[in-house]
Amino acid sequence: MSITTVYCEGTSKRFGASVVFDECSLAIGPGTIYGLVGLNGAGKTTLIRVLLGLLKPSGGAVTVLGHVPWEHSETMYARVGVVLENDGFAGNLTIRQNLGIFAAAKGISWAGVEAYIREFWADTFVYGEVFGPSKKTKYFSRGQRMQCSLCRAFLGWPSVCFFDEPTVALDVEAYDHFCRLCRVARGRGAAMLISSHQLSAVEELCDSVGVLGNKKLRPLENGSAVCGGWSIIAGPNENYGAIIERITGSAPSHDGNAWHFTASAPKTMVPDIVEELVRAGCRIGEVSPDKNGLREKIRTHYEKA
Amino acid sequence: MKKLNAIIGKEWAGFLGSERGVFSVYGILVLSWSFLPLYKGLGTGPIWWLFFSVVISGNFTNTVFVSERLSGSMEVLLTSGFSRDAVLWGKSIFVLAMSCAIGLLCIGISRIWVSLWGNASADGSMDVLYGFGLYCAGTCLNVGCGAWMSVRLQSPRLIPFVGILLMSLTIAGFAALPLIAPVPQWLLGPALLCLAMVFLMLARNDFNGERIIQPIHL
Repeated sequence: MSITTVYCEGTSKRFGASVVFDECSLAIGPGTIYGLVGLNGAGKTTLIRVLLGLLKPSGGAVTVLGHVPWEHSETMYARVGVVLENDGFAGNLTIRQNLGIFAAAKGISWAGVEAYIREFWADTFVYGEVFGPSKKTKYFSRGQRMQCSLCRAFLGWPSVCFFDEPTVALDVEAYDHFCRLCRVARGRGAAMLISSHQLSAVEELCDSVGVLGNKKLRPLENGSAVCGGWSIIAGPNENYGAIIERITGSAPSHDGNAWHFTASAPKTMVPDIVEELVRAGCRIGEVSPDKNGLREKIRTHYEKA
Repeated sequence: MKKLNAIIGKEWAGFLGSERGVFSVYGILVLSWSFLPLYKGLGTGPIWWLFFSVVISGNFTNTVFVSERLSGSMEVLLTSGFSRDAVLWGKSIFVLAMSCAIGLLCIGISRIWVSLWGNASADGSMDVLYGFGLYCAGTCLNVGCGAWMSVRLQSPRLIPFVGILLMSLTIAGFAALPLIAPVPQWLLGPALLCLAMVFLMLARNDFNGERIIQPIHL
């Protein structure tokens, strides 16, 4: 039986007469990454705050790791990693001192922090700041502060992570590092919620996506297969479509140039599709992940809403 | 207890990491205030120490409570594994301890000035003890009021002014009490402590509510 790590049912949040979101339902199981997208002001940060117990839900049920967040259980927070709008570091302290404080909050020894930094942050500037001469965090750049926030969020490998715009200001290497760490955390069974406007990150990492808009949280159509969109440049032969549908389990679409489809297990499905298409006499021009898949789906979602 | 120590340690390390100017300001404040006991002609007795506590603890309250809220880092702190009580009490204890230490330093220096240039016999050790006790009680009130106001006030810049106003009202009220019934002077300290407890309870209530993460502005 799977246990839901993050769960909310019929949750709503109001500030006076103003409704931020209403009747939102969400379930994130262990080892899954949930993408939360929506327009500016849709209520994504408010939803994260409700899930973290910083705001009290106006209605509905919310549990995180079996705890009601609004009860502010230390046990729950010790197993939660967060990246919020603000990095939360004391500017007058070095990153070494800051990490020491947050480690104490989670009951992690300094030796444990050092082992974590050595194993997972060896190629980053964080390593140099922790083990070498360090400066106060107030002198860090925005990107460096974000890396430090991510380092803190994954500290102790929490069971659940909430990331609010975690890729803002990250350079290419830091972004890749973040993706690697997310996969490590997922492998360790962590449930993660990523709220981001950077759809490439959501597409790359998330197993399922929810769109918050018009005060409602709705899963994108095709459920968990929404991420992992692919396109194959090939002719509009109906047989090709049938092959793709047989392997992926869902009907592809053709835009006059390429077939577009979603593959829930791209590592096995995409080679199978290519093999079958070639066998059927198809001349394939290009096979590529559908970069605009999620963007288009969200746009369609809004149009329908 | 470990987490409480971690919060106190965080604030202490933050204070030590302050710019040099901060230490200079505290130094100047302590030195200038330490001369006050020489001027007995002011006739205010130990009441001046209460206003010194407003200045010192007001500064620390701004650094410890308000800056955390202004930067928005409070919400990270509250979701990091520290209980809200540990955050509130840790910060309050730090402000209280630092303010009392600075008050003690100021009183110590003032004793030197009094022994050099003043009339030491006229200002006995009991008066000094009473002054320091009053200073500590005043600091408790300022800490409680500051912690609560840091959550309540939309513009926390007003905290020191609210602190001065509250202290003035308390002293004025206490001074007016003998018109109704005879009240011994030593009761001022316990009265300040009782008020401090009320404010700390209000602060605790707000620290466990939603207000603690509402945005504030200077």
